[in-house]
Amino acid sequence: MLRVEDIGVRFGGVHALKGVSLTCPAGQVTGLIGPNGAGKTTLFNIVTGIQRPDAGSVHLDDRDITRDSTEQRARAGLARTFQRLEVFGSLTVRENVQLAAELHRGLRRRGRSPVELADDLLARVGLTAVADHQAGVLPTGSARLLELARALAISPTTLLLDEPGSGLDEAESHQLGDLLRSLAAEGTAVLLVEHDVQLVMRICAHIYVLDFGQLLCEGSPAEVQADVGVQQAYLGAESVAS
Amino acid sequence: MDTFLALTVTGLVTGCLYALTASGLVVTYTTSGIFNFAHGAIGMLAAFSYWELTASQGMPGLPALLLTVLVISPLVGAVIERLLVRRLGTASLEVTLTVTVGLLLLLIGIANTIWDPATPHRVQAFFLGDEVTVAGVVLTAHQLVIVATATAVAISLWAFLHWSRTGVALRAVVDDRELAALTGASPTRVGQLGWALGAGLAGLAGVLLASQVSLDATTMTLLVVNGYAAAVLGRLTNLPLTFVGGLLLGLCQAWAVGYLTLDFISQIQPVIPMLFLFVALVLSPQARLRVAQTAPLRAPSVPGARRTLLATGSFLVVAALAAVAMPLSRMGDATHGMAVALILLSLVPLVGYGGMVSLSQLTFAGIGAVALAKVGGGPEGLLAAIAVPAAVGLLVALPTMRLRGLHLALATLAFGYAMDDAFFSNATVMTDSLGLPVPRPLGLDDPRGYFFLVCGAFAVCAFGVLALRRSTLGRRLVALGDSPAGCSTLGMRVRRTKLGVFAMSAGMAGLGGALLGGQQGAVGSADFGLLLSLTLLLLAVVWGVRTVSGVLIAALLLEAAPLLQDHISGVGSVVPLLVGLGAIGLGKHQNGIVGSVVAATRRRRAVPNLPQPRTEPPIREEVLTSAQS
Amino acid sequence: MTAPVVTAALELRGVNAGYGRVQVLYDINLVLPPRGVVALLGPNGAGKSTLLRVASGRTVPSSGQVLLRGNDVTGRSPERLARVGLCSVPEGRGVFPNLTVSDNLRMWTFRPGVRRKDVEETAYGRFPRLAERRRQLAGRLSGGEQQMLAMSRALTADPDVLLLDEISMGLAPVVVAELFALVRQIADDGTPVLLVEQFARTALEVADEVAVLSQGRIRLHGAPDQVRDGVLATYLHAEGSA
Repeated sequence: MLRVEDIGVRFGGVHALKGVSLTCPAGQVTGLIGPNGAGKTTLFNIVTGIQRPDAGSVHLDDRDITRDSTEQRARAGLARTFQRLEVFGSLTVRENVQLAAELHRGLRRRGRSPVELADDLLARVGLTAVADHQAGVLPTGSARLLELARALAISPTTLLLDEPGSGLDEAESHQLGDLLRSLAAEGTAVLLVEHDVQLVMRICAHIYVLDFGQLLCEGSPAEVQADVGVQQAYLGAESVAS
Repeated sequence: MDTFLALTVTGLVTGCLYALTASGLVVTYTTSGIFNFAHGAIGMLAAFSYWELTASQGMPGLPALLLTVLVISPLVGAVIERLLVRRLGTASLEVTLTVTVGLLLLLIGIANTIWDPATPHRVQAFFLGDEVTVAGVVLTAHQLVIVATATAVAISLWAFLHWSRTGVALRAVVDDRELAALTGASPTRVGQLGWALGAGLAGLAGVLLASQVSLDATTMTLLVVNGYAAAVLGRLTNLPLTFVGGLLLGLCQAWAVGYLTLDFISQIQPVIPMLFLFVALVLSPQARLRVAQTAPLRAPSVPGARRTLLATGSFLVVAALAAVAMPLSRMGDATHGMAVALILLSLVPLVGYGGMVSLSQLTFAGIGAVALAKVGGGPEGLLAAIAVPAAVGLLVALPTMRLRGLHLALATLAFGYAMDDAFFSNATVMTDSLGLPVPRPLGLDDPRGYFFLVCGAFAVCAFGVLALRRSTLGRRLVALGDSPAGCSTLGMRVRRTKLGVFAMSAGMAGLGGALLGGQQGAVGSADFGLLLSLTLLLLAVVWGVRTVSGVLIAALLLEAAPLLQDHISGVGSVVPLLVGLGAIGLGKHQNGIVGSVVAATRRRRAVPNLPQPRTEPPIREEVLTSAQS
Repeated sequence: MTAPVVTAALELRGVNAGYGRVQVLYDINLVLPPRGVVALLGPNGAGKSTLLRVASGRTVPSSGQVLLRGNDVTGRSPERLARVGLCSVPEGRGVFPNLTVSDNLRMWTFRPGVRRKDVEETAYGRFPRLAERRRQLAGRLSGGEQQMLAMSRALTADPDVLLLDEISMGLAPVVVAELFALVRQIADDGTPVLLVEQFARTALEVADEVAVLSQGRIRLHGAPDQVRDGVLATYLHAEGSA
């Protein structure tokens, strides 16, 4: 479970995030949506320790991890994928996942071998056919799935996904939704940033809307859809040019 | 007090020269993104041109100076930009570094071919004999000229960058290359201007320096390395800070020479600029994790366990046959070559897999040789030859592991250069002027047996390196080169991984150095010089630092080159010329020659047809935290 | 042929483009008429920015043609295109952050015939706030001020074609409205504008024509009223409420 409290960040004179608090409980998919530049990726970077917040705190499973390094957070059960891909392009697809499994196994030596786990995870995201190809040549959609499989290989309790659906076609995106739901059902806390609103509405139990670095509103998919402010944030205000 | 003033004045004069050369370095680096290791070589070429014009052709000093600094040097810079730099694009650090190092060697080769190093070349100081006394300190007119020129350059550079449209465009290209193009300013032309300007500044420093030192191609080229410290103090981008850094460095050096007269400390005097560089690097603020950085793909070729075993076995059979059949007269060269191959092999995990460029592998090799010499030729000596460099490597790595890319490369260069001056040239270490005697390990005095021992050591290490690549540590290294952010978010202890591989690589280089020393019977400071170190790295990268076969071929060719030279008379320096040209060809084959051949054979195999769109443009470096400034 | 031939301000003809081995745009045909605003909409990752990169010369198409006022300019460098009147404001960063405001304005004078004095007069006259901050670094300005500085290039360079990439990103609705009023004015003064925008509703208000890009292909093209429903549905999965 992930809890973020009152996060604030400034870039130069601009507030990138201001007073953002959200909770992402285990066992469900939580959505985080908002227009480009709203601060979603910045929030992910703060949660994973790549950036430091100017204010606020991050809690993982009720432990304050605000001062922890990125590595420590990963070891505590936090995994993520990236909007701008960070696959290990020189390794094969299988090696990408295998390495993650090995890093995780370094802690506790039991269970299945990393290669077996890698093959299972690749099958789960549907990349078995390209397991032996170099990861750098994958198209975006597949590379995003690879990042997902890689993140799963460290058996996270909380999973942050930054636009996993972009680059996927409709059928693939539907499959991704099913996969995320089943992950949540297994007890993982999933925080999903996604522009495919259809996907978000279908699988999220609770949705936060970020605009201008601040939370605009939160609620069930139906509540968020009905919110006028959300429509404005997403589509722009009515009658600007008149 | 008089001493203090005198030292301060000398320091400021030296500092002005550092500032001049460092600012040229900064101009080229910021406008083209490429750190020019050949900067000093351009200054050297300018100094020789000035000699040619004045001493040889009889031209007066001032027109010769103007011609050299305003025409010849900028032209050299612009041509280099056009022929080499422009083609590099988004090449990896080891490739851009290798190309400029190749250029350095090429320019030294050209200079040595035109101006015979055996005959002395002397350049007269400006206003020779004129002196001025300021506050009791005697200044030569030449020193005044240096200070005046540096001041004028600083002021006019500032004015140019802030008042002229071209200057503004230059800063704009540094800030955002793509946007500059969209406004209609041409980044390529600005890049060329940056190289011309940088080369002009290098030339100016070179000519001003020429009368103060003996004109020798190598010495003059390497003198500029001291200027790196000033550039790093200016974070490689800030000109005013770079100027201050240059002056500070000059002052520190002068005061140290004057006041640190204790025996031990006086020995480290020449090392001061390098200590300065090292400290400046270690303290320099580093960008935190870089995200959205597309690393160039590395050669994927990883031979399996069976193929490795087979290759190692065949190599040992060939080595055994060679040990028996080769004429004794060639044995020495062959053994030497295999020892060099072992040193180059130590680059494979570090540079080839991990993308961490180290310029001090030869230093570790030297430490290995010294360790063997001091401990003795028994097994414990061999062990020391591995363990001592590994430990030193760990010590060097601890403060520098935070650094990435060019900063790490420069830190290792500072270490290597400092060791060159303070350790390998030190009488207490090297005992006598002919060098430190190194025993043959394990008492193998028979040249054939010793050759086989070196081959065996190479085979074991090569097997180990390939096994490493197939192991989890190997995957970690490659992953680290591809995406540090990805590694951290998966929980990898990045520092530990880097430290481990750095120490291991240093140990391997140490063993190679010890075996090399054993072959030669003695080692001296010339065996581990910076220039040789750069040449070795360059050869490895040209032939393929990502593959074991690449470094093996590189080492054997290096050994064969002198033989080749014996057959081509008339050309003074075939090796640097060939090596330089090789590096220049690298722009096209960035995985090295072996890498390209492997890729060509692989291309014939089926490639997956994956038709989906990928949306991100290949952004080279987007430092996330840079948005904060 | 008796019908008058109107030369398009900008035309993409059968353009395929991508990065390395990965294709992003498929057979794009798009005409920017000599007057008016064409808005390019579509989900993240659809290839909108790539299309603008191709149009501005930053990415060379693997096949197909780019025509500027009927002249084939495929493969021309961005600086040459800029000098002949193609003004392109890239996504999120149309200014040089480490240059002062007045140095930024100096950079707007690279189009032949544009004089420094005129640029300053127009920019400071239209945006007095820029005049107050002329000695400040552009990176220290607020988001809205930065975008005004960027737009001042479009105002002063007297371009033949204007390409705008998500100028509304991260800006307050008031500022967005102000920017779009400016875009409308530029268009009404006779400069054709191709606009990539995430706020669908805002874009529909300001545009004369809308093209929708998805998975690298143009799916919809027409007047705002013709495509409105389809567009809003893809953006926010909330038919009827929009």
